[in-house]
This record gives sequence, C-alpha cells and structure tokens, in this order.
Amino acid sequence: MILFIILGVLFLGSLIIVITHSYRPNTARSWLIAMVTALVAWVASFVMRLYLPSEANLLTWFPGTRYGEILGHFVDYNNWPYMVAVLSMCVAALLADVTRTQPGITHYSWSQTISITGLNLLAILSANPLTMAIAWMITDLVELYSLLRLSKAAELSSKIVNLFAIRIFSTFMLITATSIAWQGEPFLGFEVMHPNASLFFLLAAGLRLGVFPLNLPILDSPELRWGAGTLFRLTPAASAMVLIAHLPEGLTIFNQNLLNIFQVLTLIAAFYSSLMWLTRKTQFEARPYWMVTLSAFAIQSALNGHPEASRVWGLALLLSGSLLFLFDPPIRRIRFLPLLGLLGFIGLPYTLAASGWEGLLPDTFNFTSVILILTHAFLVLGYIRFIIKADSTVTGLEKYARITFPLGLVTLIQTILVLGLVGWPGVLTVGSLLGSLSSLALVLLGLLVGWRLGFNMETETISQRFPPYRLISTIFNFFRKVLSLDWLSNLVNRAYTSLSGLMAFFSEILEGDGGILWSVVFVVILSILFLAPGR
Amino acid sequence: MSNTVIIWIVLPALLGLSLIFIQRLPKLSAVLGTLFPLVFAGLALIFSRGLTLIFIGRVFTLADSLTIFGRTIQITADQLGIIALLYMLCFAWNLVGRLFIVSQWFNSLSLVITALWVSVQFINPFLYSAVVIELIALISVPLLSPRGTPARSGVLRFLSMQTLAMPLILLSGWMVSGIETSPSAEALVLRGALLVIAGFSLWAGIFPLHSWLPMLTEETHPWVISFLQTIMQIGLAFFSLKFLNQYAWLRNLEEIKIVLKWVGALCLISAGIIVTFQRKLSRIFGYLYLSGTGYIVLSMAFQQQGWLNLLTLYLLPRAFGYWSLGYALSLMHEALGSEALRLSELKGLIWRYPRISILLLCSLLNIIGMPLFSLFPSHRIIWSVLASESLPIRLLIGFGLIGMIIMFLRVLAAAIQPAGVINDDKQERAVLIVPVVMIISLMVLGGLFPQAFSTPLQDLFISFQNLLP
Repeated sequence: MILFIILGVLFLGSLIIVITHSYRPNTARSWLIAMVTALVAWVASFVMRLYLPSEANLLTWFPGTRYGEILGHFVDYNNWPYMVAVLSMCVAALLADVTRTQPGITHYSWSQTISITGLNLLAILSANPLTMAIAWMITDLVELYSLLRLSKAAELSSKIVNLFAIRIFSTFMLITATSIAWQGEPFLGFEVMHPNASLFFLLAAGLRLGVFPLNLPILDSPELRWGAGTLFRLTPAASAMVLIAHLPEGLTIFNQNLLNIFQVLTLIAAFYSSLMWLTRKTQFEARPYWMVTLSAFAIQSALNGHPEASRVWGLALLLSGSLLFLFDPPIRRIRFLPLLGLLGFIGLPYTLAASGWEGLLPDTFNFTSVILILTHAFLVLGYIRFIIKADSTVTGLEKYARITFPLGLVTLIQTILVLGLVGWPGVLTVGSLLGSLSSLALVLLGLLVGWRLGFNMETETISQRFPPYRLISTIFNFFRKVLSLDWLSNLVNRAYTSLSGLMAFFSEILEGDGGILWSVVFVVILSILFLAPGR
Repeated sequence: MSNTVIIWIVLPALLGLSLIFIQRLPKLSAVLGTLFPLVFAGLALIFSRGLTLIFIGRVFTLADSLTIFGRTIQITADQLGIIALLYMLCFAWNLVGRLFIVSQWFNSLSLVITALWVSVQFINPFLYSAVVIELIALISVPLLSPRGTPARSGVLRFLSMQTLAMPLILLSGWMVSGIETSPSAEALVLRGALLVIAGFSLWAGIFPLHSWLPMLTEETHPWVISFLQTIMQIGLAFFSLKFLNQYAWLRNLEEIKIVLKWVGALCLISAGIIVTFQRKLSRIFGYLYLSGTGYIVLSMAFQQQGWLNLLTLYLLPRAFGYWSLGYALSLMHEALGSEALRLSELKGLIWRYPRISILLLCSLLNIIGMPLFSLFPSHRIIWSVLASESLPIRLLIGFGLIGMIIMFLRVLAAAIQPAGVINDDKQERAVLIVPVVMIISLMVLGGLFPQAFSTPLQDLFISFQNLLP
C-alpha cells in the first residue's frame, strides 16, 4: 500500500503541475506542489522501512499457462536504501533548484524531476528482471524525449543516439539474461537467478553504468548540470546497482577465466576513471568518471562474491555525488556541507561505506587490493579538491533560497547518516581497517602534496614542481586515447562502410535481372551446407 | 444464403466487385469498404460458437459446406475465428485507407482479396488453393501498380515467384495421394515435403527467395503493401498449419522440424543483417516482413511443444505492428512526398513532424519486440524457449535482433539530426495527435496486458486438432 502511495503521489503530483500550469501558470505554486509531493513520498519511504520486505503484484501475464509471469514490485534491504536515496535526491534537487534563475528552470523541470524519480523507482523496486526491463524502457524513452527537448545541436544529437544505444543494448542484455535464466520455467524473481545467466545480468548492469566496455553514458550539456539534470545523470544508475545487488554469490562458479577478464576490465575502468576524476577542472566535467569509478567498485564487489556490498558504493554514487553536484553555486561559507558527503564513501569504521570494503578487498591482500585502495584514495582526494575549490560568494539570493539551498544539501547528509545507521541489518560495522586506514593515509599524503601545490592542478604548475609529470602525462594520454574507444568506433565505421558495399552488391545480385536464378543458386548452396554435416 | 461459404466467401467477393462500380464515389466506397468487412468479422464471431443462432425467436442455421465445380469448400464453426481475424485485417486497413493517396480500387479489391484468402483456407482438395493464391497475386497487380504507372521490376518479380510456387504445390498435391496409399515410402515422403517447403518458401519470400519483398515495399505505397503482405503472411501461416494438421506424414517427419527451425533462424539473421545496411525505410519495411515470417516459421517448428498457443499470442500484435508501421510510413510518404523514404531525407524529422516521428520510432520498437510494446510478451517467450536450443540457432537469432536494434538506432540518428535549412512549408496536422496517442497507447497496453490481444484469439486454432498438445 505504502509502495503505491509513493509511486502514485509522484505521478499524480507531476500531472497536477502540468494541468494547473496549463490552466493558470504560476511558478511558485508548481514548485510547491512538486515539493509537497516529493516530501510526502520521501517520508513514506522511511515508513516503508518498518514493513520490509514487502511486495506488490501488479499484473500476471498469461495466468494458468506455462508462460505465466508476474509483473510487480518488491522492497527489501537491497533496494530500500536506493529508494530512499533517490527520493532524497529528488527533494534536494527541488530545494536547490530555487537558487537558480537559468531559463531552463521552469515548472516543467520540477514536474520532470518528480516524474523521473517516480519512473526510476519503478525500475529500482522491480520484483523481477521482466518488470525491470519494462521500467528501463519507459525511463529510457522518457529520458530520450526530455533530452531531445533540450537541444537541436548536431553534436548533442549524436551523443543522444550513443547514450540511447547503450541503454537499449543494456536492456537487450537484460532480456537475454532472463531468456537464459528461463530454463523451461517462468523466471519469477531475482532470488532464483541462475549463475549462467547472472554474468549476462552483470553485463547488462555494467553496460548501463558505463563500465563494460568503458563508456561514459553522460552528456556534458550545460542544461544537464542542475536539478533534473543531476537526477537524469545519476538515478538511472540506481536500478543497475539494484540488479548488481541481487546477483547470486555463486556468480564466481561460472567461468573463472571469464571472470578474471571482467575483473581486470573493471579494475582498469575504476583506476582510470578515478585518475580522471582527480584531474578534471570542474566537478561537472568529472561527473562521468565519478559514476564509472563507483560503478566499477560495485561490479568488483559482485565479482568478488559480495554483491550485497555493492549497495554502499551505489549509495555513495547517488548521495555523496548529488551532494557535490547540487552544490552549485559553490558558496564558500557553506562548503562544510558537501564535505560531510565524505561520510558516504570514505569507508571509515561505522560510516555508511564501511561494509563496502568487504566487496572490494577479497580475502587475500594482493595487487588488485593495492590498486583499489589507491583508486578509492583518488576518489576521496578529488572530492575534497572540488570542495576546496568552491570559493564563490553569492549575493542577491532570495531570502527563501538562503534557507532552501542548504536545506537541500542537509537532506542528503541526513539520508547518508540515517542509512548508515538503519539502512540494513549489519550496516554498522568496522569494515576493513586495512582498506579504510590505508586509503585515509594516502588521502592525507595527497592533501599534503596538494597543499604544497596550492591545490592547483594546472598543467604548467604541476610540470614545474613535479619533473616526472611530462612522462606520466604522456602515458596517461595514451591510455586516455585507448580507453576513449574512438579507435574502435572508427574501426567499426570502416568495417560498416566496407560491409555496406558488399551488402549492396549482394542485393544487386538478388534483385537484378538474373536474381531468381541467383536465389536458386543460394538455396542450393545453403542446402549443401545444411546437409553436409549429416553426411 | 444460409451457407457459411456463401456468407464469408461468395458474398464478400461479390460485394467487393460491386464496389468497383461506385469507385467514382470514393467516400461511399470507403465507408462500405470499411463496413462490409466489419460486418463479416462480427458475424464470424457471433457464429463461432455454433452455426445455429436464435435471434428474436427465429432460428438461423447455416450449412457448413458448398460444392462448386466438384470442389468442396467447407467452413465449420470452429474455423470462423480465422475468418474473423482476416476480415478484421481488411477492416483495419480500410478504416483509414482513404487518408492516403492509394489506388482507387483499394476498397473493392481488398475485400475481394480477403474473401479469396478465406477461400484458400477451406478448399478441398487443397491443391486448388494454390491456384487461388496465384489469382490473389494477379488481382493485387492493380493495387501494386496503379493505373498510369508502368509495372516495375518488384511487381514482376513478385508475380514470377508466386507463379513458380504454384506448380510446386500442385505437384506436391498429386504426390500426396501416392503418399497416403503408401505412407512408408520414405523417398516419396521426403520429395513431397521438399516440394511443399519449396512452394511455401517462394510464396512467403523465405531467405534467399525474398528479393521481391524489399523491391515491392520500395515501389509500392506503404499502406497498400502493408495490407497485402500482412494478410498474405497470416493467410499463408494458416494455410501451412492446415497442411501440417491434415498430413501426418508431413507433421511427423523429424527433418521438417529441423528444417523449419533453421529456416526461421535464417530469416531472422538475414533480415537483421541486411536491414542494418539499408538506406531506405521502404526497404526496411520489407525486411521486417522477412523477420516476421521467421518468427512464424519458428513457432511452427515447435508446434508439438505447444507453440501453437504461442502463435495465438503473436498474430494479433504482429498484425497491429504492421498496421501501425504502415500507417506511420504512409503519413511520412504523404508528408515528405517521397516514395523511397531515404534515411537522408529524414534529417530533422523529429522537429518537423514530431507526431509522425514518435509514431514511427515507437512502431519500430514495437515490431522489433522491445519491452513495453505489444510484441514483447510473445517475442520474449520465443527467445526464452529458444535459449535452450542449439548454440548456432541462438546466435543467429541474437545477431538478427542486434541488427534490428542497430537499424532502429540509425533511423533515430537520422530523425534527430539537425536538418539545416529546409524549404518545406508543410505543417504537420495538429489533429494527428489523436491517432498517434491512441496507437501508441494500444501498443503499450498490449505490452502490459498481453491478454488483451491474445484472449480474442484463444480458440483460433481449435480446428487444428492434430497440432494441439
């Protein structure tokens, strides 16, 4: 019941905004409706904690037949924290949005904020992959529509296609995984996930998160930086994270060699992205790398046989991430607020991410562990760096905005704290002291170096003070080019052009004057090929 | 009049022919052309529970067979579901046919063609059906090549293929009598099966005998070709099921299942790969039919595992998918004034014609079988069952699907690419929002409540007793 209230309230609120605004436009009223809607849903999500696990069946496909399947929603300790996180982000985005006067911020963006949240909740709370696939499709189509409304620029349109391509292939992978998992019986839920299929589930999530292969499913358009933009960028990752959290622990029994390949790829993605995160000029430029690094952490957890540990990295991606990205304008006086976002992913004992180390650092300490600790340290350092750089002093803010803007950030901080206390049984833990303390030591060392450099990452400054910088920079640029996959894109384009010619030739043969005879020839060839193995 | 054959074959054919005489009154012709099939479909549904109807105290009983020139046509109550479906197709296409500039014969000939497809299902001996199918191909020519336009290569190729198929089926018909008297004659059985498969392959345009499909869709108005192809695909599916139902030697032949599986998979992969490289939407439409044929053939390959039920889930959403895509392409055809609908002509389409573009994109997603849309539930079951099949078949189907997705992305990329300066003063009609919203809502409803599409067809195959599990 509460589940329906949460979803119903969000969609209803969005609808009311659209209707009332078209009848009598009033921006303040639209914002208020959105705010009340989001708050009701947000509070209800906390109440939901008392009723875990709970489920709600929506539809049954082909009941009484062998193809019978159920569409529904399910809340447990795996997806409840994500639900709370996404709703907190919605509330925070609405509160923070009122500080802005950009033309893009209208009643439409508020209606969009709550409807996007509702749609993503449909995916996050899916009881089975079938429901998730449908929810993904809805979210992707709405996202496509919203992006197309943003801009007609040629550059953006090609990026939109790339983004949608990744999304649709990720959905395709999810369907493939469910097909493999079918095994003659309808696939009812995540709990019966077959290990053979779970690798495809992981691929589906990895593709959506931008890790397999390394892609950056982000459009760095200025319009996408604020409010609904932040939700657009971060929330689709939540449902993919839920999918990872549901993966069986027996994933490792699938194929060790294949698993190793995935681990190496994830590790490269994490390390590379954390370095990029650390070295980008602005947090908005660095946002894709934040997402990829933490997604890679989540996937690494699943590959190490601790999919439930992926939760904390997913929550860090959403909560600490949105705290930083919504901190715009970066007002110097309140920069301690986003700094508290560190509590979401620093991994120290009894913080939210403490239990995440279990997934990152396997039983034996090895080279992988070193890289992951280093990656984590880079992530923390980058986060601190972006906050230290916040030095604007904004004047002329409306009185209410002076309250709502910090309040939005506080909403996220308190969610991090609440989840760190009651997110799921066993959330309060020491975690891996080796991981957290090593990372902290590296961060302190980094801060010391940063202090010496004046926290200035300008190329000229660093190359003057740090002689090996040029060599490192060259290697780094090489990796950047390789991992950008532009070369692969060019290769595919060339292959496509060549094959295009071949296909045109083939069609010409079949459709030309001698086409019928050629068709018969092909039938004979195919028959011979078909019959040959039997002989 | 009180005969099923007269009501659902003779009368519609005569009414269809009579519409020719009022072709100069296009509105009336369109209204009657829409109304007649609806009435016939309604009557078929009413009588599908039994050929006796009590109405206001009067009892109407229909005879179920008629002998013409020594050939028997028999339509029982069980088979009326098939008739209702075929007439519903005719109704759906006539309903909005007048919105487009299609042949003036469309209303009349579509009704005649439907009546002939109905007759194909019920003529005994079956080999005469081959002649009727040839007749349908010939009657289609005025629609495919309207008056004043020369017959193009696609039409000629279509006629050639249909004509080549006819003797093969006739030969198989004569061979059947031999097989029935000596069913153990393996060589005869194999030869008979081969002829049947070859005949059907030519009719349906199975890869690599499909060349006429893209040629025809490229040369013909999308609305006309979508009707002809849809009714042909579904009509042929029923006809082939009749074959399988009637002849145990064919049904029980182990090789035929393997061949059907491979033929289905080959259709899907070939359609998927070729469509990836197409530059014209009109040709893409042709390959989507090839892919649809692949799914139907696959369903038949697994008929003994209860897949016939699956076909009931599949047929109506598929037909609706073709209808909506045909509608979207026809709207584009009129809006852009382009026959081939090259992808390069679609630049900026989403901003110039947003409603048509959205309908086109949703229709493509629907026909590919993506989640949320009406074809997904049945496609999903097919993919799931095939997942336990041999790896090559799985790969063929998987790559076929990837090809279709790439095709969709290419269309999307073309549609959202900025157009630059276009001297086009045409405006999209605002009223289009109504049909577009209705069609997309139906697609989504079908995707969320698949029973809505499958329940009306629940008893569709009840007459194919030997094929039911």
